[in-house]
Amino acid sequence: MKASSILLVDDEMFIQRLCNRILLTMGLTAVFTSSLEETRKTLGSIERLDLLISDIMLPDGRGSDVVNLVRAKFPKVKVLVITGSSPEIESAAFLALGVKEENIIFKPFSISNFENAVRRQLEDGREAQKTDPK
Amino acid sequence: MQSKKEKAYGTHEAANICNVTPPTIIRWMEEGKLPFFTTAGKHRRIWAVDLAAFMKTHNIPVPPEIGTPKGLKFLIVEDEKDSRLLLQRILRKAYPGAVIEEAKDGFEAGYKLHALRPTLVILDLNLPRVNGLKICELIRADAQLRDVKVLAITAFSVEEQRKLALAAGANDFLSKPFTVEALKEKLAGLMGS
Repeated sequence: MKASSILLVDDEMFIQRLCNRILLTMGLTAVFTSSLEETRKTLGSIERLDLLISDIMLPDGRGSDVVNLVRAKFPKVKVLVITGSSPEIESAAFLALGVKEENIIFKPFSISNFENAVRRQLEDGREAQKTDPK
Repeated sequence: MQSKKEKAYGTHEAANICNVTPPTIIRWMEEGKLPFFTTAGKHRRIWAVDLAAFMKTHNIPVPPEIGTPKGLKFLIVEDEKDSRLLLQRILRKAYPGAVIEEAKDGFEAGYKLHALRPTLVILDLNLPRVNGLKICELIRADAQLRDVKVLAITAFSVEEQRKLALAAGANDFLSKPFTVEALKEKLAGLMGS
Protein backbone atom coordinates (compact mmCIF):
# COMPACT_ATOMS: atom_id res chain seq x y z
CA MET A 1 0.00 0.00 0.00
CA LYS A 2 1.31 3.47 -0.94
CA ALA A 3 2.41 5.64 2.00
CA SER A 4 -0.56 7.51 3.42
CA SER A 5 -0.93 10.19 6.02
CA ILE A 6 -3.33 9.27 8.83
CA LEU A 7 -4.44 11.13 11.95
CA LEU A 8 -6.19 9.17 14.72
CA VAL A 9 -7.97 11.08 17.48
CA ASP A 10 -9.00 9.02 20.53
CA ASP A 11 -8.51 9.60 24.24
CA GLU A 12 -8.41 5.89 25.10
CA MET A 13 -4.85 4.56 25.14
CA PHE A 14 -5.99 1.03 24.39
CA ILE A 15 -7.71 2.18 21.18
CA GLN A 16 -4.66 4.20 20.14
CA ARG A 17 -2.35 1.25 20.76
CA LEU A 18 -4.64 -1.29 19.13
CA CYS A 19 -5.16 0.85 16.01
CA ASN A 20 -1.43 1.55 15.87
CA ARG A 21 -0.68 -2.20 15.85
CA ILE A 22 -3.30 -2.84 13.16
CA LEU A 23 -2.07 0.03 10.98
CA LEU A 24 1.56 -1.10 11.37
CA THR A 25 0.53 -4.59 10.23
CA MET A 26 -1.02 -2.93 7.16
CA GLY A 27 2.24 -1.08 6.53
CA LEU A 28 0.74 2.24 7.63
CA THR A 29 1.70 4.73 10.31
CA ALA A 30 -0.40 7.40 11.95
CA VAL A 31 -0.16 10.48 14.13
CA PHE A 32 -2.16 10.16 17.36
CA THR A 33 -3.90 12.82 19.41
CA SER A 34 -6.17 12.51 22.45
CA SER A 35 -8.28 15.68 22.42
CA LEU A 36 -9.68 18.45 20.26
CA GLU A 37 -7.07 20.89 21.58
CA GLU A 38 -4.17 18.52 20.95
CA THR A 39 -5.52 17.94 17.45
CA ARG A 40 -5.68 21.70 16.85
CA LYS A 41 -2.01 22.03 17.87
CA THR A 42 -0.86 18.95 15.93
CA LEU A 43 -2.65 20.01 12.74
CA GLY A 44 -0.26 22.94 12.40
CA SER A 45 2.65 20.57 11.75
CA ILE A 46 0.80 18.24 9.36
CA GLU A 47 1.28 19.07 5.70
CA ARG A 48 -0.69 16.28 4.13
CA LEU A 49 -3.59 14.22 5.43
CA ASP A 50 -5.35 11.39 3.63
CA LEU A 51 -7.45 9.93 6.42
CA LEU A 52 -8.87 11.15 9.72
CA ILE A 53 -10.00 8.51 12.20
CA SER A 54 -11.81 10.04 15.15
CA ASP A 55 -13.61 8.94 18.27
CA ILE A 56 -16.89 10.72 18.98
CA MET A 57 -16.56 11.42 22.69
CA LEU A 58 -13.47 13.45 23.53
CA PRO A 59 -12.61 15.11 26.82
CA ASP A 60 -12.97 18.61 25.35
CA GLY A 61 -15.31 18.16 22.41
CA ARG A 62 -16.96 15.79 20.01
CA GLY A 63 -15.86 13.94 16.92
CA SER A 64 -17.95 16.28 14.78
CA ASP A 65 -15.84 19.21 16.09
CA VAL A 66 -12.70 17.29 15.08
CA VAL A 67 -14.09 16.65 11.60
CA ASN A 68 -14.93 20.35 11.12
CA LEU A 69 -11.52 21.42 12.47
CA VAL A 70 -9.57 19.04 10.24
CA ARG A 71 -11.67 19.72 7.16
CA ALA A 72 -10.98 23.44 7.52
CA LYS A 73 -7.35 22.64 6.63
CA PHE A 74 -7.83 19.47 4.58
CA PRO A 75 -11.25 19.74 2.88
CA LYS A 76 -10.85 16.47 0.94
CA VAL A 77 -9.71 14.34 3.87
CA LYS A 78 -11.44 10.98 4.18
CA VAL A 79 -13.12 10.36 7.51
CA LEU A 80 -13.68 7.27 9.64
CA VAL A 81 -15.53 7.56 12.92
CA ILE A 82 -15.13 5.11 15.81
CA THR A 83 -17.62 5.13 18.64
CA GLY A 84 -18.94 3.17 21.58
CA SER A 85 -22.36 4.83 21.33
CA SER A 86 -25.39 3.25 19.75
CA PRO A 87 -25.88 3.56 15.97
CA GLU A 88 -29.20 5.41 16.43
CA ILE A 89 -27.67 8.22 18.48
CA GLU A 90 -24.60 8.94 16.40
CA SER A 91 -25.35 8.19 12.78
CA ALA A 92 -27.58 11.22 12.17
CA ALA A 93 -24.98 13.76 13.33
CA PHE A 94 -22.30 12.28 11.11
CA LEU A 95 -24.54 11.76 8.13
CA ALA A 96 -25.19 15.50 8.37
CA LEU A 97 -21.42 16.04 8.09
CA GLY A 98 -21.28 13.84 5.01
CA VAL A 99 -19.79 10.83 6.81
CA LYS A 100 -21.48 7.75 5.41
CA GLU A 101 -22.88 5.11 7.73
CA GLU A 102 -20.39 2.54 6.40
CA ASN A 103 -17.60 4.78 7.70
CA ILE A 104 -18.81 4.70 11.27
CA ILE A 105 -17.21 1.83 13.22
CA PHE A 106 -18.83 0.77 16.44
CA LYS A 107 -16.82 -0.47 19.42
CA PRO A 108 -16.06 -3.23 20.03
CA PHE A 109 -14.91 -3.58 16.44
CA SER A 110 -13.02 -6.45 14.89
CA ILE A 111 -9.53 -6.08 13.47
CA SER A 112 -10.82 -7.00 10.01
CA ASN A 113 -13.63 -4.40 10.17
CA PHE A 114 -11.12 -1.71 11.01
CA GLU A 115 -8.64 -2.86 8.35
CA ASN A 116 -11.33 -3.00 5.66
CA ALA A 117 -12.69 0.44 6.54
CA VAL A 118 -9.22 2.01 6.46
CA ARG A 119 -8.34 0.32 3.19
CA ARG A 120 -11.64 1.33 1.60
CA GLN A 121 -11.28 4.96 2.62
CA LEU A 122 -7.69 5.24 1.43
CA GLU A 123 -8.60 3.68 -1.92
CA ASP A 124 -11.59 6.04 -2.26
CA GLY A 125 -9.27 8.95 -1.57
CA ARG A 126 -6.86 7.81 -4.29
CA GLU A 127 -9.68 7.36 -6.80
CA ALA A 128 -10.93 10.85 -6.00
CA GLN A 129 -7.41 12.25 -6.53
CA LYS A 130 -7.19 10.59 -9.94
CA THR A 131 -10.42 12.21 -11.12
CA ASP A 132 -9.62 15.57 -9.47
CA PRO A 133 -5.83 15.85 -9.16
CA LYS A 134 -5.94 19.45 -7.80
CA MET B 1 5.72 -11.66 43.66
CA GLN B 2 5.92 -11.51 47.43
CA SER B 3 9.24 -10.38 48.83
CA LYS B 4 10.84 -12.89 51.18
CA LYS B 5 11.32 -9.99 53.57
CA GLU B 6 7.58 -9.70 54.15
CA LYS B 7 7.02 -12.47 56.66
CA ALA B 8 8.94 -15.25 58.38
CA TYR B 9 7.54 -17.83 60.83
CA GLY B 10 9.06 -19.34 63.92
CA THR B 11 8.99 -23.10 64.57
CA HIS B 12 5.87 -22.93 66.76
CA GLU B 13 3.94 -20.72 64.33
CA ALA B 14 4.86 -22.99 61.42
CA ALA B 15 3.77 -26.03 63.45
CA ASN B 16 0.37 -24.42 64.10
CA ILE B 17 -0.09 -23.58 60.43
CA CYS B 18 0.82 -27.11 59.35
CA ASN B 19 -1.16 -28.77 62.16
CA VAL B 20 1.89 -30.64 63.41
CA THR B 21 4.10 -30.40 66.49
CA PRO B 22 7.22 -28.17 66.65
CA PRO B 23 9.57 -31.22 66.72
CA THR B 24 8.08 -32.32 63.38
CA ILE B 25 8.86 -28.91 61.88
CA ILE B 26 12.42 -29.14 63.26
CA ARG B 27 12.79 -32.64 61.78
CA TRP B 28 11.61 -31.38 58.35
CA MET B 29 14.19 -28.60 58.63
CA GLU B 30 16.98 -30.94 59.61
CA GLU B 31 16.09 -33.39 56.84
CA GLY B 32 16.48 -30.51 54.40
CA LYS B 33 12.83 -30.64 53.34
CA LEU B 34 11.86 -27.25 54.74
CA PRO B 35 14.19 -24.30 53.99
CA PHE B 36 14.93 -22.05 56.96
CA PHE B 37 17.39 -19.46 58.21
CA THR B 38 18.77 -18.67 61.66
CA THR B 39 18.45 -15.32 63.40
CA ALA B 40 21.29 -13.63 65.28
CA GLY B 41 19.74 -15.06 68.46
CA LYS B 42 20.01 -18.61 66.97
CA HIS B 43 16.26 -18.95 66.40
CA ARG B 44 15.09 -20.80 63.33
CA ARG B 45 12.77 -18.94 60.93
CA ILE B 46 10.94 -19.95 57.75
CA TRP B 47 9.99 -17.47 55.03
CA ALA B 48 6.25 -17.51 54.26
CA VAL B 49 6.87 -18.24 50.58
CA ASP B 50 9.07 -21.23 51.46
CA LEU B 51 6.50 -22.56 53.92
CA ALA B 52 3.69 -22.17 51.36
CA ALA B 53 5.77 -23.96 48.70
CA PHE B 54 6.58 -26.79 51.10
CA MET B 55 2.92 -27.17 52.09
CA LYS B 56 1.77 -27.22 48.46
CA THR B 57 4.39 -29.85 47.58
CA HIS B 58 3.25 -32.07 50.46
CA ASN B 59 -0.49 -31.53 49.89
CA ILE B 60 -0.96 -29.67 53.17
CA PRO B 61 -3.80 -27.12 52.84
CA VAL B 62 -2.27 -23.64 52.58
CA PRO B 63 -4.13 -20.87 54.44
CA PRO B 64 -4.82 -17.79 52.27
CA GLU B 65 -2.73 -15.48 54.45
CA ILE B 66 0.47 -17.31 53.57
CA GLY B 67 -0.41 -19.02 50.28
CA THR B 68 -1.21 -15.97 48.20
CA PRO B 69 1.31 -13.26 47.57
CA LYS B 70 -0.12 -9.83 48.35
CA GLY B 71 -1.55 -7.92 45.40
CA LEU B 72 -1.82 -11.00 43.17
CA LYS B 73 -4.18 -10.25 40.26
CA PHE B 74 -5.32 -12.47 37.41
CA LEU B 75 -7.10 -11.62 34.19
CA ILE B 76 -8.87 -14.50 32.43
CA VAL B 77 -9.41 -13.71 28.75
CA GLU B 78 -11.67 -16.39 27.31
CA ASP B 79 -14.79 -16.23 25.14
CA GLU B 80 -16.33 -19.49 26.38
CA LYS B 81 -18.32 -19.00 29.55
CA ASP B 82 -17.75 -22.54 30.85
CA SER B 83 -14.00 -22.23 30.42
CA ARG B 84 -14.01 -18.89 32.23
CA LEU B 85 -15.92 -20.41 35.14
CA LEU B 86 -13.56 -23.37 35.31
CA LEU B 87 -10.48 -21.13 35.28
CA GLN B 88 -12.06 -18.91 37.96
CA ARG B 89 -12.62 -21.94 40.19
CA ILE B 90 -9.09 -23.25 39.74
CA LEU B 91 -7.51 -19.86 40.41
CA ARG B 92 -9.69 -19.12 43.44
CA LYS B 93 -8.72 -22.45 44.97
CA ALA B 94 -5.02 -22.26 44.13
CA TYR B 95 -4.60 -18.56 45.03
CA PRO B 96 -7.15 -17.63 47.69
CA GLY B 97 -7.44 -13.90 48.16
CA ALA B 98 -6.18 -13.06 44.67
CA VAL B 99 -8.15 -10.59 42.56
CA ILE B 100 -9.58 -12.37 39.53
CA GLU B 101 -11.19 -10.53 36.61
CA GLU B 102 -12.60 -11.82 33.35
CA ALA B 103 -12.79 -10.55 29.78
CA LYS B 104 -14.92 -12.16 27.08
CA ASP B 105 -13.00 -10.82 24.09
CA GLY B 106 -9.82 -9.06 23.15
CA PHE B 107 -11.47 -5.66 23.23
CA GLU B 108 -12.65 -6.06 26.81
CA ALA B 109 -9.22 -7.46 27.67
CA GLY B 110 -7.57 -4.35 26.28
CA TYR B 111 -9.57 -2.12 28.58
CA LYS B 112 -9.19 -4.32 31.65
CA LEU B 113 -5.45 -4.80 31.25
CA HIS B 114 -4.81 -1.14 31.99
CA ALA B 115 -7.41 -0.85 34.71
CA LEU B 116 -6.29 -4.02 36.53
CA ARG B 117 -2.55 -4.28 35.72
CA PRO B 118 -2.69 -8.03 36.40
CA THR B 119 0.16 -10.17 37.64
CA LEU B 120 -0.75 -12.82 35.11
CA VAL B 121 -3.10 -13.09 32.13
CA ILE B 122 -4.54 -16.41 31.03
CA LEU B 123 -5.10 -15.60 27.39
CA ASP B 124 -7.13 -17.67 24.95
CA LEU B 125 -5.68 -17.05 21.51
CA ASN B 126 -8.87 -17.62 19.54
CA LEU B 127 -10.99 -14.68 20.56
CA PRO B 128 -13.66 -12.80 18.68
CA ARG B 129 -12.85 -9.34 17.19
CA VAL B 130 -9.33 -8.80 18.55
CA ASN B 131 -7.45 -12.09 18.80
CA GLY B 132 -5.17 -13.15 21.63
CA LEU B 133 -1.98 -12.77 19.60
CA LYS B 134 -2.76 -9.09 19.04
CA ILE B 135 -3.43 -8.65 22.75
CA CYS B 136 -0.13 -10.34 23.54
CA GLU B 137 1.70 -8.00 21.15
CA LEU B 138 -0.02 -5.01 22.78
CA ILE B 139 1.06 -6.15 26.24
CA ARG B 140 4.67 -6.55 25.21
CA ALA B 141 4.74 -3.22 23.38
CA ASP B 142 3.39 -1.37 26.42
CA ALA B 143 5.95 -0.21 28.99
CA GLN B 144 3.27 -0.13 31.71
CA LEU B 145 2.40 -3.79 31.13
CA ARG B 146 5.92 -5.08 30.59
CA ASP B 147 5.92 -7.19 33.78
CA VAL B 148 2.59 -8.89 33.11
CA LYS B 149 3.03 -12.65 32.69
CA VAL B 150 1.08 -14.22 29.84
CA LEU B 151 -0.05 -17.84 29.69
CA ALA B 152 -1.47 -18.44 26.21
CA ILE B 153 -4.00 -21.22 25.66
CA THR B 154 -5.57 -22.61 22.52
CA ALA B 155 -7.29 -25.68 21.13
CA PHE B 156 -6.47 -25.08 17.48
CA SER B 157 -3.36 -25.74 15.36
CA VAL B 158 -1.53 -26.19 18.62
CA GLU B 159 2.08 -26.29 17.44
CA GLU B 160 1.68 -23.37 15.06
CA GLN B 161 -0.21 -21.32 17.68
CA ARG B 162 2.42 -22.13 20.31
CA LYS B 163 5.17 -20.72 18.09
CA LEU B 164 3.11 -17.62 17.25
CA ALA B 165 2.18 -17.02 20.91
CA LEU B 166 5.77 -17.26 22.11
CA ALA B 167 6.90 -15.03 19.23
CA ALA B 168 4.21 -12.50 20.24
CA GLY B 169 5.65 -12.43 23.76
CA ALA B 170 3.70 -15.03 25.74
CA ASN B 171 5.71 -16.43 28.67
CA ASP B 172 4.27 -19.91 28.35
CA PHE B 173 1.70 -21.93 26.45
CA LEU B 174 -0.92 -24.55 27.29
CA SER B 175 -3.02 -26.51 24.81
CA LYS B 176 -6.68 -27.34 25.38
CA PRO B 177 -7.96 -29.59 26.76
CA PHE B 178 -5.67 -29.34 29.78
CA THR B 179 -5.79 -30.93 33.22
CA VAL B 180 -6.14 -28.87 36.38
CA GLU B 181 -2.72 -30.11 37.45
CA ALA B 182 -1.10 -29.06 34.17
CA LEU B 183 -2.56 -25.56 34.54
CA LYS B 184 -1.47 -25.30 38.18
CA GLU B 185 2.03 -26.39 37.22
CA LYS B 186 2.25 -23.74 34.49
CA LEU B 187 0.92 -21.07 36.86
CA ALA B 188 3.33 -22.04 39.63
CA GLY B 189 6.22 -21.96 37.14
CA LEU B 190 5.26 -18.49 35.93
CA MET B 191 4.57 -17.08 39.38
CA GLY B 192 7.91 -18.35 40.60
CA SER B 193 9.89 -16.99 37.67
